[in-house]
Amino acid sequence: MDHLERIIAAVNNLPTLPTVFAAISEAMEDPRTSADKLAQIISTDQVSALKVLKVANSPFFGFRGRIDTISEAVFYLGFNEIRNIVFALSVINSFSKTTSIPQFQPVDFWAHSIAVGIATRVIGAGSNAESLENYFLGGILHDIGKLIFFQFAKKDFIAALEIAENKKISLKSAEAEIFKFDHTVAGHMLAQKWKLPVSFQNVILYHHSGVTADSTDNLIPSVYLGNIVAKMLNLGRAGDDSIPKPNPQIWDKLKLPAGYFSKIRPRLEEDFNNTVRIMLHE
Amino acid sequence: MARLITLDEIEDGMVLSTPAKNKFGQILLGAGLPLTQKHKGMLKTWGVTMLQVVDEAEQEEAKSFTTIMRDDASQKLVQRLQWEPENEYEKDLFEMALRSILEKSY
Repeated sequence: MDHLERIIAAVNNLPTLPTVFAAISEAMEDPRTSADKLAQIISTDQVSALKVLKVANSPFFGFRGRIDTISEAVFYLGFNEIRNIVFALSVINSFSKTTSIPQFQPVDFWAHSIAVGIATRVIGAGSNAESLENYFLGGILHDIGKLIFFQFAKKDFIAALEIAENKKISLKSAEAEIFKFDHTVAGHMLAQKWKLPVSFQNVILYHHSGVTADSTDNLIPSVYLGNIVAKMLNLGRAGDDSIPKPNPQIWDKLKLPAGYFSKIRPRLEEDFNNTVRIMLHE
Repeated sequence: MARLITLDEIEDGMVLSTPAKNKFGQILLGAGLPLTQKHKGMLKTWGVTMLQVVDEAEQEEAKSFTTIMRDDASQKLVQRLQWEPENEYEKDLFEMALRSILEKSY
């Protein structure tokens, strides 16, 4: 069995979407579902409900300390954003039990993913994106394929990490040397298995190119740039230290204001520290 | 980190540090949004008189690091990146990372 077949088999054997997320998604397909009904579903798991509230009160969503109930959170942030937060917490929880190794630590990996989620949302806001509700989760999920390698092909993944370190190349290139495909493809398989919306599937598949021929919104370029920003600020670590020079096409696409990164940086770092504490340590 | 300004003081590119809300507490513009002159009218209509924006004066403090400190940090950053900033956006990204390194190192 080659690498690709082994990874496909592993992804196929993974459990389906986290239960609460599946229940929420189903409820959201019914137009009669109210905020209270959704709150009731989320509240079936008290621990997760409390975390959802804490994340919803994160400063970067703009409602610090004002949201007291899940119903209010749904009202202020919207159905999709709340479902996305529940999903992010479920995925982090289900993949965080894997043991750390010196070259790859899931806690640092998730810290990096959270940083990319926050940076993606801030970049989306700066580019005047029409809706920001998928930006946080898009950033959080972008590298999920690395966890597939880490969980199901650990020895070879460690070899890829070492190649990236020794040759000073990106982990993506090192993975391609070993596996003949990289984490964007592995992550895309998982996203398809989980039947995630196509926008998230594309984020995972194209987050290293930044642009796609048919993408109309700013989500993919924002995740692409959010990844670079998080790496440049050393917020978490996702296995390698390579930081690509940004694809020049994204500047025309995003049209960010002059000096934007310097302006948002202090707040970005503060939001990162708060959100990592809530999502990973509390 | 934030500075309170009136609507008349809005300059293009200023960034909201906290959301602009109407008297009912509803958010009109989210934190992190870059302001433009076109926002003035809308905010006035909603009865907003003051806004909190990112304080650039505070960010200027980072410039007080000595040239030696900046050069040292800058060199390390270029080594890490393996590329040098060319356009204005890349220079801004570079400055962002440089200030972060300086604040954490000194």
